[in-house]
Amino acid sequence: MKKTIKKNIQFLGIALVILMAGGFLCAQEKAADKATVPFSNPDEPGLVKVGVQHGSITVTGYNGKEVMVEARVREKLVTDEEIERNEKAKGLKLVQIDSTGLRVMEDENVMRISVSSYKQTVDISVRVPYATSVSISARENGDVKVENVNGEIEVTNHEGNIDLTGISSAVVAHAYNGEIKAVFKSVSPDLPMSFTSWEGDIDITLPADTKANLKMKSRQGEVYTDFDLQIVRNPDEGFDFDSDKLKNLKRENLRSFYYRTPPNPPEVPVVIPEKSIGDLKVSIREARDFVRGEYFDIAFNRYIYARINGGGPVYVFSSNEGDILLRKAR
Amino acid sequence: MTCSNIQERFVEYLTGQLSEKESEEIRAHVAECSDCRRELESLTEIWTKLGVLKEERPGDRLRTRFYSMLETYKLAEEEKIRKEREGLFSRLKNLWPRKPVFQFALTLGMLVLGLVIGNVWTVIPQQETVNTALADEVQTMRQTLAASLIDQGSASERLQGINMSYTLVDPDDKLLDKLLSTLNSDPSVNVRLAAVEALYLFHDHPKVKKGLIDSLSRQSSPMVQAALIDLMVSIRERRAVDALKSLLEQEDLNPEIKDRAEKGIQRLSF
Repeated sequence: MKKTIKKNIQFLGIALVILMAGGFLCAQEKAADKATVPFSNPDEPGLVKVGVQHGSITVTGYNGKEVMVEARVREKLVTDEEIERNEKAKGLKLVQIDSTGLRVMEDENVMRISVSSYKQTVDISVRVPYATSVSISARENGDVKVENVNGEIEVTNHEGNIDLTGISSAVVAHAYNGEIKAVFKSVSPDLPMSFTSWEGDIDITLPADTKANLKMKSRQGEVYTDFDLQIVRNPDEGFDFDSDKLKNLKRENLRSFYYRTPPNPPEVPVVIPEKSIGDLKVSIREARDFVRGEYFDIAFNRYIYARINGGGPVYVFSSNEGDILLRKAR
Repeated sequence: MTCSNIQERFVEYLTGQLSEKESEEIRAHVAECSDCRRELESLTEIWTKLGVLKEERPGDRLRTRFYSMLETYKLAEEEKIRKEREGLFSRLKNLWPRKPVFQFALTLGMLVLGLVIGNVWTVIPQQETVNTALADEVQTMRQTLAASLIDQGSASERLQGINMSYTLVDPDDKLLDKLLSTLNSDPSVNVRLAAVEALYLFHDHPKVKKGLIDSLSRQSSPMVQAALIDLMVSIRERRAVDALKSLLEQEDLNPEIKDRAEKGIQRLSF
């Protein structure tokens, strides 16, 4: 019985819906909607999911047990033209309603944060216990920032940038228009990561001793790094660009050839000409051209494969137009 | 260097543990000696089947799940062996003669038979069958593990599950369905992209081919659309032309995707 009540409290009681109708037309600073919500099991690391249609999201780790949320309306998404076109409202002034419709729901250590962002831009900032994992989704009108969070991070931002600093687990991030920037304190030794973007650059700083298998490609951009790369043949398909045999094979036979090559092939040394851009000295466009050979056309998988520090979990870096910049932390 | 010397080092060669100079020696030898080449090829095939592609170090959650699975499997196996043994034992008991002379004769006969069999047996290598059975089991195990990760993990764990499916030679229908539904409905673009790459490896499967074509119209992310178009072109899937044409009719289609779809149609049509 007690348990059911507790559960109900978790479901309904903690499901806070804060609607503050602070309709102060002449207010200088818009008031923020605030909520502080504990996890149902504060001793276990929780997961925070935040989503916004129009606006920004900032998540910061802090030394505490509760999740503190603040949401603030930045602007109304009504244009002057729209107001002027409204015949009936002629002579009247637009009343700003500053409520964000903030909503926080917690169930079994998963906290969902959302706002009603219909026709308004809302900035959300969340403080979470260090160990929390976060999953963030934003679409328009704002950047996503995550700072000092030690859990896993998943981010999608359609329009704005993604900026992650002081993080120390695994990241799965996708930006469509914006850039992805991430500076790691440390990485999880066994979790894979993935960074993908359409237009923006992907700029990642990893600890110098990170062990990883890298899969990198940019269709129109370049790949730069100051890590010592051990370029390998495509380990997934055994794409054997080194072999003279391959040249004599017909297309039909190519696939079966993939399967016959050693799945974990010996490394092939590739001489990478040095170039410099800023403090990054190596460009691997040349290596990529070498990898392509004349079979580039028929190979679906166009990644550059490389190991750093002997290899580890797979990190994917993939962009359509952006550059990929992979830096050693100093 | 003799053939047996060379063959001894094949495993190290395949796992990339040899130095460049040693690898070069092996390559040079294999290029000349057809016996060794055949041996290396068959070993490579087993290797691929075993799927020892990458060294994967599982996380804690993964490890717990794996061990609980292993435990269940072990219990079931033990039970099976116990039952077999009981049946065998009672049957053997009935065969045992009652008179000591016959007992002695039987024992002697058994000994001679054992020596003969033992002699013959050592000549016939059993490696092949053992390897195949082991490969099958590893395959099943990986399959289950991959499916469970894709089902319930964080984004990073879902990627881990998909990466694991890269190493399977012949995944079952259940896993293929899972990869297809991941491609269509996973919330993360990154995970959907990884699913495209995994499904590419199994595109010969009719279900996968159809699933990939159908998926074109369901994707909203240009990243995934581009990956699917590239895939269709690279596997020369002519049936995808219609799907590409209907993609072109979509409103707000990214101009670059439009361009790539048009080029794709051209390349698939001639």
